[in-house]
Amino acid sequence: MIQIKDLKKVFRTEEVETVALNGISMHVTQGEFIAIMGPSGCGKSTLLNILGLLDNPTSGHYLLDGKEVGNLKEKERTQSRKGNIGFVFQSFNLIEEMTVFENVELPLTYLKVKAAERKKRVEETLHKMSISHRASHFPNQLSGGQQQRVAIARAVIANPKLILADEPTGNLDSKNGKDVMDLLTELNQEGATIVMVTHSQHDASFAHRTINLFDGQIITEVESKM
Amino acid sequence: MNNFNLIIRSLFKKKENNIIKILSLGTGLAVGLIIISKVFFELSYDNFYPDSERIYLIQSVAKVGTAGNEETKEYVQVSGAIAPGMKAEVPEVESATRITYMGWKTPFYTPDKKYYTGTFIMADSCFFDVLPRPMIVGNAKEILARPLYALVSESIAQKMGGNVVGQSIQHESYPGRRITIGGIFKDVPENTHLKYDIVVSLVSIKNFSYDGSLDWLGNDRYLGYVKLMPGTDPASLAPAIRQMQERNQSMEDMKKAGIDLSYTLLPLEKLNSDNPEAKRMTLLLSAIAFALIFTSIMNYILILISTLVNRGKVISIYKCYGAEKKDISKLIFGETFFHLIISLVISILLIFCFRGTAEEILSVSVDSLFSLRTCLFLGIICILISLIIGFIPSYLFSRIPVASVFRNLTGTRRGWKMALLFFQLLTTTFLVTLLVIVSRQYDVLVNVDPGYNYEKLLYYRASGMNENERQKIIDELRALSEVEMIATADQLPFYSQSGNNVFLPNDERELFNIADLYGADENYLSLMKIPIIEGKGFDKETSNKGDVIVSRKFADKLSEIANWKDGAIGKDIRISEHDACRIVGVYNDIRIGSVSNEDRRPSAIFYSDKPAEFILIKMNELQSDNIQKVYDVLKKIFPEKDITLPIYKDSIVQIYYSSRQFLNAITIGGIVTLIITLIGLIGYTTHEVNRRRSEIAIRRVNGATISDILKLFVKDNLWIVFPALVCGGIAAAIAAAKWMEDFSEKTELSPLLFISCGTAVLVTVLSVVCLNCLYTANQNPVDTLKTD
Repeated sequence: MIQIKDLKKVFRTEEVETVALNGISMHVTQGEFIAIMGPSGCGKSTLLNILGLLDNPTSGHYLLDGKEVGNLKEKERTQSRKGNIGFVFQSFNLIEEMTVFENVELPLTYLKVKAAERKKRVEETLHKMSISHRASHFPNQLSGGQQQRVAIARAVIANPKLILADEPTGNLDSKNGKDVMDLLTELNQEGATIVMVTHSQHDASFAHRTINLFDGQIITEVESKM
Repeated sequence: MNNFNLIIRSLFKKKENNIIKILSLGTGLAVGLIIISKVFFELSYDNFYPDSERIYLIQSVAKVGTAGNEETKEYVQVSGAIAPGMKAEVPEVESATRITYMGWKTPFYTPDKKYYTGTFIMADSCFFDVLPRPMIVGNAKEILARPLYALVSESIAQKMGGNVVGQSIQHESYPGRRITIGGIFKDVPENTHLKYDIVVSLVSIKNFSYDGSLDWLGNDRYLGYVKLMPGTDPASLAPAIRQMQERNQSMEDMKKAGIDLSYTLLPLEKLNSDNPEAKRMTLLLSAIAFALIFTSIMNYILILISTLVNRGKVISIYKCYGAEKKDISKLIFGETFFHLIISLVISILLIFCFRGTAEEILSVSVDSLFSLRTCLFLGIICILISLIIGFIPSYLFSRIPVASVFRNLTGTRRGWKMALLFFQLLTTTFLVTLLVIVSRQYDVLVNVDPGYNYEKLLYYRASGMNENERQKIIDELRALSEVEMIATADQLPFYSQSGNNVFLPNDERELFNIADLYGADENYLSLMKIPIIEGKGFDKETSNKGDVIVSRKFADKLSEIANWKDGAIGKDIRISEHDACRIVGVYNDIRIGSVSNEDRRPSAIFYSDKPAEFILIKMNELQSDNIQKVYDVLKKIFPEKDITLPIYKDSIVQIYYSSRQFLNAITIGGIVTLIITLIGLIGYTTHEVNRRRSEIAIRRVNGATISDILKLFVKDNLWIVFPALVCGGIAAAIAAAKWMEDFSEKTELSPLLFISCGTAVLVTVLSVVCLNCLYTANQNPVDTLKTD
C-alpha cells in the first residue's frame, strides 16, 4: 500500500539547514499495523506528515497505492487525502465550537456526502465507539478518553484506507489509553491500515511491526511476536 | 455542519475578541456612515425638484471700473423684471419665476394674537411651475395670483391647528396687513438652498415695500429662476440674454457709470456643491469619514489577524480533513460578513440612540440624511467593507499550512499587523491634530476683536414698531439701574450688509460700493466703543440728518479717488439710497460679517435722530437676573409678543455654527478613532505578549528587569509609531490649511503645536503598550515556562 524509497526532508531557514529525514525507505502493506518509535526530534512526526500527505518530501519517492504522491501540489494532496487518510492526534484536535456529532461529521461534509447519509453514518460510528450518548455535547464537556474516541470516530468515519495516529494515548491515563489501543486494534482487524507514532513500548506492542528511527534514519524494524 | 452555527458559537469566544472587534467596527461605522450621509446630503441639494437638471438660478455679473483696473462682482440677486423678461424674450426658457425674502424665521401672528415663527418669501404665481412642491390644499397658481394671499407649509399648518385655509396671519414687521392663507403645500426638504415656510403672493409686494417687480435695473432683491427647454446649453443663451438687456436696460448709462452688467445661469443642482465653503466642508468631512471607517476596518483586521496563531491549529484541522482553500475562505468570509451585519445593527442602534446629538451636530434630521439614494450608496460602501474585511483575513487564513496540525503555527504575520497599526496611528494623529487646530481656530473665531466692544450687550429687534413704541422701550429700559447704556441702530455689524454706491456731487460715475450700516443714534459709537480717528461722532445737539461717519478704508479710498489732500472730513458726497450727505467723522475699520465670510468693503454709518430697529442694551452686569428684568420690561410693554432677547456674544458664536459643527464632527470622529486605535493596539500587544510569553520568561530568568521587558516592546513599536505621527501631522496640516483658507483671522500652525499633538498620541500609545505588557512581565517566569 505504501512504498517509500530514499525519502529525504530538509527544513531550511536563512541560517540553518536541518535534515529531518535522511534517506528513509520502507513499505506498509494493506491491513498492517505499524508502530514508529524513536527519541524526540528523530523525524517521527515529519514522517507522519509526509505519509499523511500534509507535507511533501524534499526528495525521494512516496507511492501510495502504486501512485507517486511525493510531489503533489497542495490542492492535489488535499484531494488525495480526502476520504483516504484518517488522523488521530495526541491532543485530540477536536474543534471546540462543534459538537461531537459535528466533529465526526466533518470529513463527510468535505466529501459532499448528503445530509441524510451523513447522519446515518455518524450515528453508526458513534454507536460503534460507544459515544452516541454524547453526540450533542461539546469537546470540553468530555473526558480525555471520550475525546480521543470522538477523534478516532472522526478519523474512521470516511472509511479511510490508512489511519495515521500520532501518540494517540499520550494525553490519556492507562485505562483510557488501553481502551483507545483496543479500539485501534479492532479497526485494524476490520481491515484498516494503521501507522502509529508512539513513545510507548506498550502501545507499540499492539502493532505488527515496529520501526525505530534515529536522526532521521531507520535504525531497526522489528516484527511483533504476537 | 453549518458555518453559521459555528460563527454564532464562536461569537463569545474570549480568545478571538469578537465582541471588541464588532463593537469597535459598529461604533466606527455609526459615526463614519452618518458623516458620509451628511456629505451625500450636501451633494444632493435641490435634486428632488423634477427636471432639476434643467433649472438654473440667474446670476448677475457686474464688471466695475476701467479696462485694466476692472473688478468683477458676482451676486445672485437680480432686478424684478429679469426672470419674467427671460421667459418672454428668450425662446429656450420654458418657464421662469422670481422670489424675494420677506423674513428669515420671523414671528407672525393670528388675529387672536397667537405667535408662530416661519420663513417668509414672496413669489409670483408661476413659482411652483419652476420649483414645484406637491399641494395638499388649494391651487398654488390661483392663490399666488391674488394680492395678500399666501401658501403655508404642512408643518406650519399643523402647528396652527391643521386646516388653516381661510385664516389670516400678520407678519410681525408689517402689522395691520392681513395675509389670508389660501393653500397648504408639502414641506420643502432640508437639502435645498431655498428654504421657506410661507409663500406670499408677489402681487402683494406694494403692501409691504416698494414694488420694483417690473424694474429692469436696481432694486435687485429678487432671486430669479429659469427652467430651460430640454437639451439647452445655458451658455448658448448668452447672446439672447444680452439682446434682452439691450432692449430693456439702458446700456449706455451703465457704460457711463463704468458698469458692464450681464447675467449667467447657475445650475440649481450645483448651487450648494459648487459653493467653496460647502466644497471644503464636504471634502474634509469625507476625509474624516474615510479615516474613521478605514481605522475601524484596519482595527477589525488587525485583531482578527492577531488571532492567527490561536486559530491556526483549528484551520489546519479543517484542512487535514479535506477543507480546501476555498472552504477556509468561505468560512472566514461568512464569519466577517456576519460580524459586519451585527456591527451594522449596532451602528443603526447607536444612530437611533444618539439621534438628537447627531441632528444637532449635523444640523439636519436623520430622516433627511438617510434617503433611499443615500442608503443605496451606503449599501455599496458596506459591500466594499465586507469584501475588504473578508478578503485579507481569508487570504491569510487559507494559507495556513496544513502541517500546523502537528505543530504550533510560528508565522506571526508581523508585517501585516505593523502595516495595519501604522495606518491606524496615522489616522488617529491626523484627527487628533486636526481636532486641536480646529478648536484653536474656533476659539479665534468667537473671540477675535472685531474692532468694537460687545461685552455685556443684549439687543432687541423692534421690528414692525413705530417710533413711539421704540422710544417707550428705550425710556423704560433706561430707568433700570442694571442697564448701563442704550443705543439704537438699523443694522448690526455681524449681519451681511446691503450695498450702496458712492458718488461725488455732480458726477454720475459710481466710485465704489460700500457695506451700508444705515442709521445709528448718538449713543451707538460710544456704546460699541468704536473709536473716532478723525472728525467727530454723532451728538444730539450738533448732528444733522445726512451726517455720515465713514470707515478708514472709505475715507482713504475716497480721498485718493477725489484727490483730497486735506482728508475726507467736511466733504459732501452722494450715496445711493441716501442721496446727499456730509462726512463728519472717520472710524477705524470694524469687522462686517464674520471671520469666515468677511465683508471687506468700506462701510458707513448715518446719523439717525429717530430710534432705529435694533435696540442695543449695555448691561452693568450680564447676569440672568438682570436679563430677566429687561425681559420683564419688554413683556410688560408687549404682553402678547414672543420676546427674544439675544446676547450679542451668543449671536457672534451662532455665526460660526458651521465651524462649531465641524469641530463637533471632528471631536467625535477623533475620539472614536482614538478609542478604536487603542482597542486595536491593546488587541495587538495582548497577542504579541502572549505569543512571546516564553521569551519574556526566559529573558526574566536570565536577569532581565521589568523595565528591560517593557523597553523591548516599546522599542518594537516605536519604529512604526514615529513615521505614523509624522505622516498624520503632515496630513492634518494640509487639511487644516485648506479648511482655514477663507478665514481672515487664522490660528498659528506652529511646529510646537504639531510636536505637542504627536507627543500626546505617542505618550498615550506607549502607556497602553506598557500597561498591557506589565502584567505578563510581572508574572513569575517559572510558572510561565511550566505552563508553556
